[in-house]
Formats: sequence, C-alpha cells, structure tokens
Amino acid sequence: MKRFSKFLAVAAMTAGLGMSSCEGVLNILPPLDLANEAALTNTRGVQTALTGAYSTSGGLSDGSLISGNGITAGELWADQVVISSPGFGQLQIINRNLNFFNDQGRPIWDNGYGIINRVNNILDALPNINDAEIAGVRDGIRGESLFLRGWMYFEIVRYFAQPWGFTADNSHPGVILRTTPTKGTVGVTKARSTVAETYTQIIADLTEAERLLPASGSRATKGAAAALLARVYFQQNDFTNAAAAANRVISTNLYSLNAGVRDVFDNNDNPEAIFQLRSNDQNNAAGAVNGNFRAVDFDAPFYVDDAYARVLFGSTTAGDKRRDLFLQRDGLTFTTKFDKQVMNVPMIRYAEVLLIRAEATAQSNPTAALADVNAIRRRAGLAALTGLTSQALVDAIRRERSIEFIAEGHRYHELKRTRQNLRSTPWNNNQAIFKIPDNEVNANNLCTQNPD
Amino acid sequence: MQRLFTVSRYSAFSRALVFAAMFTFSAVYALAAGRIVGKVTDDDTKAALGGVSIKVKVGSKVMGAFSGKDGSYEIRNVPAGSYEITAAYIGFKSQTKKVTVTDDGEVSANFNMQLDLLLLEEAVVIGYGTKTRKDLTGSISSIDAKEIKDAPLPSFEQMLQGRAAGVQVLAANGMPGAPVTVRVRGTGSITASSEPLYVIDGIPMTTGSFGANFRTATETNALASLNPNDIESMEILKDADATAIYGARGANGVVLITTKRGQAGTTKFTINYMHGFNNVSNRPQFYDGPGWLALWNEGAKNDSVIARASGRSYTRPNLPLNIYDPTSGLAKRPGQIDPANTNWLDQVLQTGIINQVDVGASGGTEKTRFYSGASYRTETGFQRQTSGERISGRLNLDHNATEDLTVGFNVSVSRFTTDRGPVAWSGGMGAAQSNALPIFPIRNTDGSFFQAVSGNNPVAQLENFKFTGVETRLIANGFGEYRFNSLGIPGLALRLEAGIDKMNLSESFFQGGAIRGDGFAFSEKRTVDVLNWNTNTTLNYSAKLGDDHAITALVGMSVNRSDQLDVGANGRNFPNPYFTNPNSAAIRQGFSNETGFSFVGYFARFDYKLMDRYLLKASVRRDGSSRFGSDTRFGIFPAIGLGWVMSDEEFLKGNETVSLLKLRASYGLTGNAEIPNFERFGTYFAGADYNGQPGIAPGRLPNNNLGWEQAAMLDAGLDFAFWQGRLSGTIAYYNKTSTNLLLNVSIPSSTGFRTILQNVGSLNNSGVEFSLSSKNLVGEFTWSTDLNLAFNRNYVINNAGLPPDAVQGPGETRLFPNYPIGTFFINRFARVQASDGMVQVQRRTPDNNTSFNSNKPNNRDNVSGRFIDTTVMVRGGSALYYNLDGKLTDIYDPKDRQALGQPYPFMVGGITNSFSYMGFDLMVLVNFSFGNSIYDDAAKRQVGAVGFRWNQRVNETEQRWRNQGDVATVPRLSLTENRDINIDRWVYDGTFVRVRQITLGYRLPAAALESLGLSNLRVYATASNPFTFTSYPGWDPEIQRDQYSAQGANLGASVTYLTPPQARGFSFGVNVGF
Repeated sequence: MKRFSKFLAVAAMTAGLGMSSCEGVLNILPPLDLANEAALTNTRGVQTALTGAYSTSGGLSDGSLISGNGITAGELWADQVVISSPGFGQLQIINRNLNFFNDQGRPIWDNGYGIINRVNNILDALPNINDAEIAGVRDGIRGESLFLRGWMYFEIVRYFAQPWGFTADNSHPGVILRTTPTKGTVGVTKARSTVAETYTQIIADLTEAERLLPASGSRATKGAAAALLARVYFQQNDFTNAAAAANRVISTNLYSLNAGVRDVFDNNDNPEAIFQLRSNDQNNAAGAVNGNFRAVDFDAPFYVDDAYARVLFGSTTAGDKRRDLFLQRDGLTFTTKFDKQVMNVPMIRYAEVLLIRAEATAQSNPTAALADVNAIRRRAGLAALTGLTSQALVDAIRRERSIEFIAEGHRYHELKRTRQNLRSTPWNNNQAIFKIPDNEVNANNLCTQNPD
Repeated sequence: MQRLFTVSRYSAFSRALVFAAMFTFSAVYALAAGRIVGKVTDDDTKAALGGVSIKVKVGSKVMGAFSGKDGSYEIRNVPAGSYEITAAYIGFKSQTKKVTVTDDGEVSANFNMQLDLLLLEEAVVIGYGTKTRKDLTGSISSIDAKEIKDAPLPSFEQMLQGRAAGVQVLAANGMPGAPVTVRVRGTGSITASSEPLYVIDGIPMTTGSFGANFRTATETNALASLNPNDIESMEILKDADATAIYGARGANGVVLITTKRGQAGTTKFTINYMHGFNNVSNRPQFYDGPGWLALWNEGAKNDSVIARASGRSYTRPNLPLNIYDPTSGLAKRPGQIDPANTNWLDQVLQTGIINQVDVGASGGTEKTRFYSGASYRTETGFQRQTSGERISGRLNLDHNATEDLTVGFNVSVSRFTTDRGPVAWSGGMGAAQSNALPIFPIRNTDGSFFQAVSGNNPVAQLENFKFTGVETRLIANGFGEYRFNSLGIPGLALRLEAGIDKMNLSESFFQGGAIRGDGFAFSEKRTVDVLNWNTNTTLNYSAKLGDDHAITALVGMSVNRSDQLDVGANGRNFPNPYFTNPNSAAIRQGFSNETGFSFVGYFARFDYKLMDRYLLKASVRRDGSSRFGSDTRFGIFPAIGLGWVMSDEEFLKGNETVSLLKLRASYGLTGNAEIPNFERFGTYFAGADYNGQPGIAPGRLPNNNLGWEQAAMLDAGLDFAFWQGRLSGTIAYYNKTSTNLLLNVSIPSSTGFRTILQNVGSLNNSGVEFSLSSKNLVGEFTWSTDLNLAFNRNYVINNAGLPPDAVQGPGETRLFPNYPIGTFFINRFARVQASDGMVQVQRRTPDNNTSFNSNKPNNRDNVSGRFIDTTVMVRGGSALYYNLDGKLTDIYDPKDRQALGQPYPFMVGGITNSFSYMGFDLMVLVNFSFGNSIYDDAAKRQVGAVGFRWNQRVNETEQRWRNQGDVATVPRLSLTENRDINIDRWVYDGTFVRVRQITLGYRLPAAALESLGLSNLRVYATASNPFTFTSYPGWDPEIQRDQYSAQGANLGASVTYLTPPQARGFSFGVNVGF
C-alpha cells in the first residue's frame, strides 16, 4: 500500500499542478499593443496619445484628412481644380451624383471621428491623472485636445451638412456630437445635432483651447486656435467675432507675411505658418498632398482649371509673383506649392488671417481692410489698391483670396459662405455635400441621411 | 510533500516518471518445467509468419514469445499444467489453443493465421485512448500507412487525398512544400481557419504558413517538414462524438497521427529508395509571337470599324514597351525593338526531379522496443527556382519498466529547406502566362535583360531572385503509463504525456538591383521561432461488471501553450554584389513580432456497453483559452453517442450473410478556437507617431464576449459487413450547424471605430458519406476495391446583415444567406451579338444609395434606379449581359452583380482498386469531384482580351467573333474596350475525374528472399496524376488559389488566378527489408 499511496501523491500532485497553473497559462497579454485600461493612466500616456491624435496613422496629419481629401474633395466640387483620371468617388463629386459609398468623404468622416475619439479619451482621462509630471502640462494637453476636436467637427460639418445659413435658424442636421470616449459597443447609436448646435460646440472647444494653449510651440498654439476661430466665425459670416479673433492672432506679433510667396511652402519654420502639419523622414505628413499635386517631374493628377489658369496668367495679373507657384506644361497648369516630397504642410497661414480681417472689416473700416489686402498684394508684387469701398472692396478682397489659396482647400467653403454656385450647382444643393457614409447609417439607425 | 506542489510542471512530470520507475517489480520466473514450441503460418499465402505474438497466461503472469522469420517460436520454462495459448498479429484473427505442458516435456502448438477481413477488433486511435472499431459510436476514418506507400507525395496530408469519405484534401499546387487545405465535412468557418487540428502522438502540432510573402512566392506549410514514412496510421475524427473530447479545437475535425513503434522480436530493417520526376499536369496553349500580333491587328481593325461607324477618328495604340509593330504600316521610330517570339513558359518551366531514401530499423525485447527512421528527400519543382530538401530522423522508444509501468519517448528532428521562386501573378509562370508577352525578347541586343525592372520578364526576375527558407523542427514527447493491476485495481491506468514542438523558420530573401526600380539590391533575413508545449494527464478505468456490462471511464486535463517570435532585418544598396547580408547595406531596417496562445482543458468520457451490443458514450470537455474574452473564458463541449450492434442480436447472430450491422448516432457541441490571439483586448497601438515623436492611438474596442465558434453536429451511421467482411462499408449522415462565427460587424464610425469582431455568423454543412470496401477476389489472385463518396451541402445561415462587399474572398467571392460560402458575385453574361442590329434591351436611370438586402442578392429592388426598356443599336461582336432584373442589357454595370455559381462540388470521392498475383501488386487510385463551378479570374484577361496586353489562351480565344453574322461565345477583339470585367462567362464546370496514382510492384518470392537473406525486396513504379478527365479549359480543375488568410481559403474554394497546376509525375523505387 505504500507504493499505492506514493502513486496517489503523484496523481494528486499532477492534478493539483494542472488546476493551479492553468489560470496563469491563460493570461497572455498582447506583446505589441497596450491594453486600454493601462494606456492613459499617467502623463506620459496622455502625452503619447495626444501625439497619436496628430499622427500620420489616422491622426491630423493622415493623408486622407485635412491635407488630402480635405483639400481635393472641396477643390473638385469647386471651380479651380480638375483631375485627369478620377476614381469613382471623385467622379461622383464631379458628376454631382453622390452616394454613401463615396471613398472621398468616408476618410474625412472616419478619421475625423477617429481623432475626436482619440482626444475624447484624453479629455476623459486627464482629470484622473495626478502624477508629478502632470503639473504644468495639464492645461496644454486639454487645450490641444479641444483644438483638435473643434477642428474636426468644423471639418466634418462643412462636408457632411448643409452650410451655415441653409436654414434661417441653422436647425438643419449637422453632425453627431460625441464628447465622451467610446468604450464599448453598447449605446453607441446617436442622432445628428443641428448645425447651430455643432457650431456652438466648435466655438466652445476652440475658445477654451485658445485660453489654455501656450503662445508658441510646434503643435497647436493660442494663435492657431484664434486663427481657426476666425475661420469658423468667418464661415458664419460673423464678421465681428471673425475680426476680433483675427486681431488676437495679429496682436500676438508672432506672425507675419514671409518675404517670398514660396517661403511658406519651402521653409519648415517661418513666421507665416500659424499651424502646419510637421514632417520628417519617418512621419511624412506631405505624402498625400505631394502625390496629388506634385508636378515637378511628371503630370500630377490634379491641375488648375483652365478658366482659372487664364485668370492667373492673364494680363490683369501681370507681374504677380504667385505665378511662380505654378507650372505650365503641355497646356496644363499645375501648382508647385507641394513639390517637396517631405515638407511641413501649412494648414493655417497668416495671409488667411489678414484676408479674413480685411473682408470682415471691409464695411466697417475700409482703410484698415485695404491695408490688409494690400499687404498680400505687395508681397505678390502687385500694385496697392486704393480708394475702394463697400462691395467693390469686398470683391477685390475675395478675388485676392481666390488667387492666394488655389489648391489649398478653401475655395469650396468660400463659395458656400458667399452663396455662389459651385460651377453650376447651387451652394445649397443636396449634391454639394457628401452623404453620411454607409457604415454610419447602416449601423446607426438614429442617424439621418442627407437627401438626394 | 508541500515542496512538491510548488515545483514546476516539467519537473513534476519527470518526478512522476521517477516515482513510477520506483515501482519496479522484480521479474519472477518459475523454475524449469516444460516448453511450448510451434510454427506460425499465413493461411492465405502458406508462408511462415514472423513477429506473431504468442502468449500463455500462467497464473497471474503472462509468458510469451514472438515467432521468428521462419515462423517458429519457443516458450520455455512453462510450469506443468493446462493452458490457453493465444497467437495474435495485427490484421489477422487471434487464435487460441489449449495445451498441456508436462515437466521437461515439449508440446507443440502450430497456428495457421487467417486474415481478419472484418477488422472489428482492430484498435482505432481516438482522443486520449484507443478503442476497438466495433465499439465506436462516432465517425472515424482510419488510414493505414501501408495503404499509401509508393506515392512521391511532398507532405503527409496528401496521403489522405481521396481515401477517406468526407475528407477533402487540396494541395495549393504541385510545388515543393506547397500548403495543403484539408476540409473535414465542409467549410465550417468564414473568417477563422477551417483546417482540422493535427495531433501527433497526443501532441497538437504547430500548423499553418509562417513564411513571408515575397513577390508571390507560394505559402509555406509547417507540416511539410514531417516525414510521411514515420507514420503508422492516421485517424480522422469527423463527428462531435469523436471530436468533443478536443473541445474548443474539435469543430473542424481532428487528424490523429500515430507514428511507428517497435515490436519485440528480431530487429527489422527497411530501406526504401525512390526516384521520380514530375511536370505540370496540364498546360493550356498560348499564342506565340506572330499569333499574338495577329490578335492585336484584329483588335485594331475592329476598333477602327466601330470608330468609323460612329464617326469618330481612330488612332491605333502602340504595342506595349516600345515594341515595333511591323503590321501597323508606320515607320519604326528610334529605339523601337522588333517583336520577338519568346515562349516564356518554356523559359520558366522545367522537369522536376525527386529523390528519396528512407532507412528504418525497429525491434527490441518484451521490455524495451524501438523504432528509428531516417529520411532524406530532395525535389525540384516543375518551375525553375522551386525546390525542397528534407532530412529527418526519428526515434520512438517504449520500455516496460515493470509489469504495470510503461514509459516511452519519441523524438523527431527534421529540417526542410525550400527554394521559393515567384510563381503567381507577378513572377515565374504567373508572369509567363500573363504580362510577359511572346513579342518581348528575353534580352536586349546588348545582352542585358529586356525590361528587367518592369516585371514583364520572368527570366530576369528568376535570375535575380533567391528566396530560401529553412525550417528546423524538433518534436519530442514522453509518456508514462501506470496500470494499477498490482495495486489491486485492474483496469485503472494513469497516463502522463508531455511534449514540445519547437519550430524555427529562417528565411533569406535577395533581389538583385537589376530587377528593382531603385536599382539597389535588396536583402531580407527573417527568423520565426515557435515553441509549442503540451501536457496531458489522463486517468482511465475500464471494467467488465458481470457478463453484460462493460464500462470505460476517462478523466483528464490538458495544457497547451504556443509562443512565437519573429525577428528580421532588411537592407538595400550594397557596396558590391558580394555583400548580401542586410547588415552590409547602406539603408537598413529591422522588424519584429511576437504572439502566442494557450489552452487549458478538463475532460471526461464515459463508455458503457451492454451485452456487447448496446453502446453508450458520453464525453464532455471544459476548455479555456487565452484567446477568449474575460466573460467567456471557458466553454463546455458535451457529446453523446449511441450504438446498436444489430448483428449480435439473436435474430442475426450466426447469420451466414450478415457479419456486421451496426446503427449508431451521436450529437454534440464542439468549438473552433482558431480566432485571432489578442482580438479580445481593447488596445492602443504604438507607431501613431508625429514628427519623430512616438505616439499611441486606440486600435480596437474590447470584446469580453469574444469566444470560440461553435459547431453543433448530429451524426448517424450504419456500419455493415457481409460474408465475413468480403463486403463492408459505412453510410453516414451528418448535419453540422456552425454558429457564433466571427465576423467584423459594423459599428457607427462616428465612434472612432468601424468594426468589431463578434461571434455572430452561422452556416450549415450537411451531407451523406458512403464508403464501401470489397474483397472482390481472394486467394492467389486478389482484387479489392475501396470506394468512398461524400455529398456535402454548405450554406450560410446568417451573415449578420453585412453588405456584400463587407466580407470578400479572392476572385469576387462573397457571403450571402442561403447560398454556399464563397458564392461568386459577378455579372451575368448573355451572349455575343452576331451582327449589327437593333436589340431590345433594358437600361436604368442613375441610382444613388442603395441599401442592399443580402438575403435577396438577386433582387431588382437592390438597385433604386428606374428600369427602362429601349431598343438600341448593338454592333456585331459586342457582349450583352443580363441585368439584375434578368433582362438583356448592353451596359456592364457592377450594380447588376448577382450571386451565382456553385463553389463546392456536390459529390467528391475516390476509388482504389488493388490487385495482387504471385509477387505482383497493382494499385489504381482514382479521385473525382462533381458539380462545382470554377471562377477563373484570369480568363477575363487571357481569353479574347488582347487589349489588356496579356498572353491569350488559344482554345477559347479561337471561338471569338470575327465577322458579321458569326455566332460566337467570345466577343470581338478590341484594344480599347474594357474587357477586364467579372462575368459568369468565366465560370466553368469544375467537374473532374483524375487517376491520381497507379503503382505496379513486384515482390520477390519467399524462397528467393531467403536465399538473399532478406525478408522483403520489392520494386515498383508509380505514375502520379497520369490522366485527368475534365471540360475545364484552364490549367487544372483541382485548384486551391494560394491564400494568405483563413478567410481567403474559406471563400476561395473554387477560384483560380494564374494558380500553378498540380504535378504529374512518374517515379520508381525499391523497398528492401531484412
């Protein structure tokens, strides 16, 4: 029986070992990824997550967002840029025959909301972080997060909702406002807020961001938030607030026009760039914009519409140094703004702030407005305008704007703000905005689709 | 003892063995008494039969001996008395005789062994045990390695091909080391693997493809490094009754592989040598240079006619790559090259050569037995730059430490080296039949390669490309089994098993600068390490209670863990061609990856047999895995089986005709745990960097409910045998519903996520299997026939309402409820217009958003545009289609895609005929597959599509429209019209009958062998895939488009795209035994 008891001990030991160690064997953490719960528990965590919100992987500098489709989709709708061989989504824009499979709008929606979720996670985690490193950076992190959220809502609402002013009280559908992070799949369906509510959220985010952000830095700054606010108010034709915001940018005295028209596209750091997507060899934010417009060694897919090429190279603009930003070859006009393969992409520049303030004050203070627009003209090598007032002055400023920002993604929003046709399509036409992507409406029964 | 509980698992196991070894019983031998002698012969051949176990039970112990080569045996020291003496040998009926031994006497007992045709008492390997076939309640196919010798198969899975009902085996192609797809009773998953679990000697194996994918080299097969010659038998567990004991890993079936073990007796040696060669099984004809140019001209002519008719001007396009077109009438421009006439397939194909030598030795004593085997094989594939070399060795040891304790150890070491040239679309024979046009020269006049960089020159690609992989593998496992006989509990046994499977794959890839766009040579080295360990502990008890009740009970647990680490580096721009290691390059990059999984299972099984004819079996396993979410950590997988041996009932017992009639049925739940390792976690990923700063971002939402895919399977079968097994077989019905299938379900993208992997889909496989084994002739001339047929029906039950393009397989395959998984989603081709004329067609107003109803994929409501009937001018040679409304239309619109085709055959099977006469043996294996359709995704570019600038297949292109009034099946040639469209014109009948193997052998007669001192000398010749009967006009109807994902393999069952064919070969060899 002694041997038997020994054997029973072996058996018991084996079984015991098996039982006790099994739970341990089952716990394998993903070696390459970080579990959600552990990600944003300290300052380093939220700081790296904030970097992630700027990244080229689904972040602000992703080639499908503001520097990519954010420019080209709008330009295709508008009247200044054409494409040589459009894909199906681009063809839908050109033919004003949009559907919810459109691959030009989807990345703006998906990645825009991706960034919103990234920063919502940060905003959610931030109050609970109380380590030593958080002191002095908490406000900045919150400010940058709000800046990015406000910007993304502004980007999405302009592409997926009818513009400000489409209804008198702006009660038409805007975007789905999400201000808390997505933690699971329960209760994620949500209806669209109105355009008025959307703009309220955007202004609130950007206003608080402006208050919290540092004056200078390589990412979002006070000036960038104020400039973006100026753009938002301007889109609403709220000239008072637009001018005030522009003034706050200008009065920082940190920004000025570069001497040369190309400098803002050529130099990584320059006083005209209020906000730029920064690039280096590993993380190049210019990939998309370069691929779309680069014409130095072969024909880029996007080029300037012939009508505008004639304006640009016509006699009325003789001597305009901005012609140097374009290249004519085989009867086509390409822009050379984005010819560098690795470059910082200027997304908000001082020239825009000046032109916003000019138009916003054209009625109230034509002298100051003339000074602002003439600063742009002087840099372009053109004679100063004199003696213009009221609508003539406004028209001159708008004309200047249309030349200054060709292929920079402003034209579509400008036509809607000024209620001009997008080529022959009225500014408030249902075919002048994207449909809400299939993925959203299929999985979110509360989300209404834009009508055909 | 406290300390013992804290030691690690490994040392605990070794301690167990030491403890067990301590229970050594001193061998007891009785004093000299009498002896038993005799001779054993084979009743069939009348020849002496060696290796037969002769046992005589003397009191509580068993004495015994094995018959020698001459059939004689001797058991000494048998105390005087009367005994029962039993002779047993695998494949023969056991015989028992009564003998009386006297002191110092010699008693003789001769045995004339008769073949056991029924094999009812044959032991079948089941999960964690064995069982006699007669007592099975589940569906298990057994394959004896002896049946499958002589074929030059590259890997052992192919040994299953055509031999087991309901087991479909498809090699991706005939190249060395090519992956093999095995489906047991249909495809049971959508996104997860549908491959069975492979268990070798109790240890689950690392399987799959770990090789990198460079320039469309084929995938690798981790199992290809194993030597098929070491295999004794394979059991394929098909239903839940058999597989539920494997719990969360049993749903796709389980393949149990048993390696050869030694038997006591004289040491037996075997030497096998095989030499063979192979080629492509079939080769469609493509146009040569002048032929291709003639097509080009015809296309240009057609285009100009159409242009003229509609008042447009026509400019003839230039030939690709600056080739001068002598028929254009245009002057040769500077730099233009005259068209060549190159047969690119001749340039890349070759005759492959196979050499294999196996050496084996086995034997031992009653106490210690061994099997050892070594094998060396080299093969070159039928395409240049493809080859394989395998060297392997194995040692299996069994030792009876005591009467009650058996310990054993198996170790196998192998190395498999492959040379994997590009074979698919962008290189090798893929390029040779696609974009490498016959008008292209191989070399420029200056001797350099023509268009080396463009990928249009497969010769340049192959010459500048080297991709080798070396898989080194160590599989070792040990076991100890203690039977509690001496402790007074006969029938109780404790078994411990532990094993490791360590695999390393080292890959080396090099591309010369000549074929690279940047002009820089590129090199990459990568190594993958997978360590997989497993322990099984089982306690088994079997007893007979009275005459009528027999029970067997098993409890056990199993732990398995696998960890994988990949590390690699690449570099480009080397100082000179001598340097090829990435470290020597000017631009270097490193990468790494890591993953792993684990399983813990507890299981129990209970068998009850009443009156030897009523069978009940119940089993359950509780399985947990690191892959399962925190809320679904463990799953329970029960199964129950019932059997009734009717032939043992009074009314049939002793019946001359009916030898066996058994009804059985089972039901159970099993799981498929081949889900992604870490998908359950909500995670942040690294690498969301900005401007050189490291960043992280949310990658996935957590899914705490993520779990196994579940299969509920009903199985019912009838086993029968007539005339003492002259005719035997099985009919089985099964119905398997797979639920909780993983699909990426849409969530609103405004959440920041687009999809989440959830257990939501379901599909069903049901079918009937039929196998029949007939000994048509016995005696001097034998003829036996084995036939198996399987009818499987597969259909998707629930696809979670996903739109058609949400789940895609290769070649336009999709997922629709009530259609088979991988149904083609393409447009319907109607006909080719014979002559210019007005045709009544239907067109549609432009439509915008559609919400697609995937339950009704062929419904006109899926497009919102208005249908308009109209009459239009259609030119002769134009293609007409059917729209979603089933009406003729002249417009190709992807919105008219329809679910069509039958990706799975309704019946597959195989028939083996074996003959033997005197020393000759002949075996003919025929496989067949009926009723599936093949979508040839390359045909749209290879048939009448000269404008796509690809090689053109002669057989069908010759059926094109040429002149007004032609009734044709291929539209007119054109250089400008888009023919690159997915239509059912390229869906073909995939039915085939293939003679897979013919082997003719001759074995020297016994007398001659004896004079040579040999036990066996056989020479043979084998033809592999010598004949194929099919209407499929492409390369080979037996296809598995090589896949890099489980989803691709599940959906792409009948899709081909420049897929290399199977090999056709001839080999001869010699088997020597002594």
